[in-house]
Amino acid sequence: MQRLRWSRPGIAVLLLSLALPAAAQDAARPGDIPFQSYRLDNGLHVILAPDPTSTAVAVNVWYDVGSRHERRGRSGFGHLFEHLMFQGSENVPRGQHMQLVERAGGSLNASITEDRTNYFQTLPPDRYNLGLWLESDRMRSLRITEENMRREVEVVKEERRLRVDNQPYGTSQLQALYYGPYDPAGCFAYGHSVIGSMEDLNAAELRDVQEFFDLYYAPNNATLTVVGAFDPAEARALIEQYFGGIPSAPAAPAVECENPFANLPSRETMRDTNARLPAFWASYGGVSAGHDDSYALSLLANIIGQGESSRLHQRLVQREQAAVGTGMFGVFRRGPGLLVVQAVANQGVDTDRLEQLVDEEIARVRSEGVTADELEKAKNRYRATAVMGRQSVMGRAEALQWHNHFLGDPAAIRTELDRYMAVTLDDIRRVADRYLVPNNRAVIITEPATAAAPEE
Amino acid sequence: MKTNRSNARRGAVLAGAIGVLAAACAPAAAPVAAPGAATGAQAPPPPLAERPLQFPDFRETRLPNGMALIVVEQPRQPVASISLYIRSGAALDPAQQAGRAGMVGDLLTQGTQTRSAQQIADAIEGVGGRISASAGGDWLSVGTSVLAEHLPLAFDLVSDVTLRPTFPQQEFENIRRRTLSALQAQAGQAGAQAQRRFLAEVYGEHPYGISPIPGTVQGLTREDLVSFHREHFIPSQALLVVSGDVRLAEVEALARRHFGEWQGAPAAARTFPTVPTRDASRVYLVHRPGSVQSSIWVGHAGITPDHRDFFALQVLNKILGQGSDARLFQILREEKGWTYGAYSRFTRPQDVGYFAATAEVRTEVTDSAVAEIMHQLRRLRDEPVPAEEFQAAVSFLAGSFPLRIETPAQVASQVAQARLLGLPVEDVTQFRERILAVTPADVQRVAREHVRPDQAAIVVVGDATQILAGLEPIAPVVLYDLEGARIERDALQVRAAEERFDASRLRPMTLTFQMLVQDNPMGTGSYRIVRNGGDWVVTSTVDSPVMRQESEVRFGAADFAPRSSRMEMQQGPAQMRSELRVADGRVRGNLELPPQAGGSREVDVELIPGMLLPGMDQWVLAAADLSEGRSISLPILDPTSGSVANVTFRVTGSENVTVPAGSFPAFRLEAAGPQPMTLYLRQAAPHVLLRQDFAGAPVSLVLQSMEN
Repeated sequence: MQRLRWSRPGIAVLLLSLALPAAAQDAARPGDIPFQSYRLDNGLHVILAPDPTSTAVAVNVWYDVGSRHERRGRSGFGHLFEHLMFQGSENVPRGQHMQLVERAGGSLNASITEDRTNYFQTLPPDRYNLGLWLESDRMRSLRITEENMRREVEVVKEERRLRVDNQPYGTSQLQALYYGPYDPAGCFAYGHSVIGSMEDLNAAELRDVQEFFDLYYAPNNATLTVVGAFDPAEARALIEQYFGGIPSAPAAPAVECENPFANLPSRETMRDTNARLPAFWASYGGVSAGHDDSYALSLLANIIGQGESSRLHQRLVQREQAAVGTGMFGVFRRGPGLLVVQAVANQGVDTDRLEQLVDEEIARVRSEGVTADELEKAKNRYRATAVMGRQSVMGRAEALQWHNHFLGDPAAIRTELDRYMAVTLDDIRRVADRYLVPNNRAVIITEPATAAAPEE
Repeated sequence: MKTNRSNARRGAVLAGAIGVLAAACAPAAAPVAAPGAATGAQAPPPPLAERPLQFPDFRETRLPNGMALIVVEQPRQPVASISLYIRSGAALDPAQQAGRAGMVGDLLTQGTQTRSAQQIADAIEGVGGRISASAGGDWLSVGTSVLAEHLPLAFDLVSDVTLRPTFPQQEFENIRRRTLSALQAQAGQAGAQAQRRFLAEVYGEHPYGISPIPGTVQGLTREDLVSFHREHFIPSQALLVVSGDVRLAEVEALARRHFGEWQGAPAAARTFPTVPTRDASRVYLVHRPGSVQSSIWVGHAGITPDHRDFFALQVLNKILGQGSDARLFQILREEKGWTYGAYSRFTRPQDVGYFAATAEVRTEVTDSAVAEIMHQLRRLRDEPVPAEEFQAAVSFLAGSFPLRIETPAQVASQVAQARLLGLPVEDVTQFRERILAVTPADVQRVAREHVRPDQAAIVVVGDATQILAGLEPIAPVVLYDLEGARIERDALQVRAAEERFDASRLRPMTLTFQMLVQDNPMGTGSYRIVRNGGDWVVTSTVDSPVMRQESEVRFGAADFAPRSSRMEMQQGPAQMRSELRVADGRVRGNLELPPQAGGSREVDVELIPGMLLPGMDQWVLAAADLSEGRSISLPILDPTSGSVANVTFRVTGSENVTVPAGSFPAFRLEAAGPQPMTLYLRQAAPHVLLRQDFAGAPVSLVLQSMEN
């Protein structure tokens, strides 16, 4: 499958027929998702992946805005927008977006991470135009009003109470993911949480919110991906009609993260009135998505800390009965990511013991590496998860968007899995020895708070 | 007020692409309003040209031994899925063995002639796949999904667990314990109780009316499962469905290799008894003392799967009660605020299905909600459906269908459903066309034929003392208790305890407990009972990640006369407190509860003879004369509702119980009611609590030490 990119519509029409061969009938390859990629004059990046064998169409927009783009004192704006985008626009009253999609037989949702915000709907083939129209209407004319803003600020604050402040280990998790490992002076972008702080949300002003929208919710800062049963010529015309007139905005300022891990090593104890058992966290400085070491690190985290056959589960939970749960996962971002280990103590076990056991297991991997069998299983599991997720049109749209956003090119979807499959036992041992070192980590200890009175 | 980006940006918008000025607050317009409506807002675009929906290709074949095979070749992604169906399910369980098929399903993946449960799990996890097995009413199924290259392993595992399961005794015991615990938990859930009662009333002796109960599950043996397997797992009853990045020839070869040797006599033709007919509506009210909500099921027998009205009924059901856009939800929730949700359904099993409209509502609006549901059923018969509402229902059903056949496994499952129900495949391949052929007149016609509010079973599970009077005008009422036994009206009165218990049998002591979650110690509890003048005073604390509780209860040292009770509990973010005091023959105090449990309230109830405050029951039992088969009914004030109800403790057996404090001969007691549980008490007096299992959750308290 050849890769085609256009910058000008004239050439696009000419090449269109080349982009539509019959669906491959030989053995399927997971990255074999034929697509076209081009930009409108206003900068909107469009990825079209027509697939006549599909029965549905995914309309999926990623904005290049996440919590990493937020300024000091304005954390939580990205998250606020994920809510505001459903509060109505020029031609779509509040609540109608959802109703229109559901009445068409479709489904929809949205989400935000540190690195991006996405909005998506799956629709039947004759109604994907509705998805395009709805996305264009809110990109052009979101209703940003004092009333909508105040109401959604309250909703977001409630979400924070529910998902962080009242959850056992909620605040420890924020510490492990943001405040512990990242130096706020060297990398505010990742040194604060997606969910936002109460103070910043309270201080939000309409003017700031409007500014944020104008800068980040502009066509030149978005990628629209359409996957499934549609005619690409028709889609191009509709996209031009709906999105073509939306003016672009000045380029957003570059995100700075020059010196992310200057604080490491560090150690913090968190008192948690919701937690009943102590926990140990280690958050190691890592790499960005697409970094040469990211593949081995991802598989390494899988081997050490995912599933019942993982090293940590076998040792801490099964053999020593020191922990009731363990885990390790890699966090790979546009900027520098993390490797996070978590262990929750069993009754009567203290965090020193957890730390000692985790350190022993990590030292063992650094000195001895892992077995060929473990690596094979980790590859299988990684590949199965990635591939099974691509069976639906939305799964394929998200995969194209992910490769475009994190690796700079949707075509990376064709080669990315190979990079995981190419990881060797030496790679695993090398990255373990390079990144999983005591000087490169933030340790967080969760101590259950003994005071009976919970915070109001 | 609406804010646009800026004037400059608006100026650049293509002429005609947007309206000039939007109204401050556009009304909730119909989705396909005419363009250029009065507000000036632009209407959403109309649907594009209808695209003929090509139902994906599939192939059907049969092995020489009679096993049917459906293959969906769709190599879009390198994934392969297998589902194996056996056309035998819970409907084949004799009433006294209800629960048998369900346990067969749960045990298939728990051990074969060559693999342990752990080995099966490891084999599938090692390739990043999944395997599961379960039983429904009409069939059992085993399903797995793997990367396409692991299809041979998937065949190996699916055939192994289907053809050679060993139902290991140990796993059998584990699954039976889990099943019993789940049943016990269900007994405490109003919704599950309502469904059971509804099925029993609608189906009578028909197998669809029979649900497992602890007694039938307790009576099952491993041999029952083995013989079910021997009898029903035969190739002529099997349907193998393989989909994804697969080739027919390869699938056939694998099927022959793994299932070709499978033999078995053809199954006897299956017949169902008839479903009873109803001539009038009746309310079946299950008394759930202290319930703050009522669970409502209204309906009757429905249609067989091949009925020609099926598609019109799909449209009717969408209008009435499918999703948040439908009448029941809009009226009962959005308009009246009586409930979080209200829905309806027409089921489609192998024999006659049922129709039901359901809702969970606040106790005080129970009768209004039932009356409104009845009104909505009559309205479907009496009034034509407005064109816009009809159109929205049809476009939803036709529009969402393509989303339900997106993946090869979904396509395969649709075809399999048709085959299992004995239907022509056009039933699924032509689903959209058949929905689009339904007319508004059809909807009213089928409403008159298939929705019968005057012959309905109206099941309500709730506090009968509060809702009985309101329900009586709707239809004659039949009363049941939570155990499913018919009761009379006078049984609703709280009964005084029939006997007096001797509190002087108690001794001062301190009991400490471990809380086990999935057999891991996850918390501690302690109970300390001391004399204070003429009273016993019990102070307790339970501290665990699951919950934290502190309490103090006082009662007469000779006669268990209640004095006071104070309790504080925290479960996740939810907190509750209660303070109760006895004076002048009444119990007064207050309850502080989270809003979802009904908020705070005052308590002021009459103290009836033998009544207990929360936290006393454990000590009354400790001083009681216990023996196997005994049952003790105690009126207890429930700290979450403030009402008094009789809780029955039944001694269901005696066994040796081993806990950290030692091994003891013990009595097993079952407590029914809204919070079912199992208790193990020491046989020697006083009958100290050795172990307490919370129903439906893998949580137990076990005695760690006992000190004087």
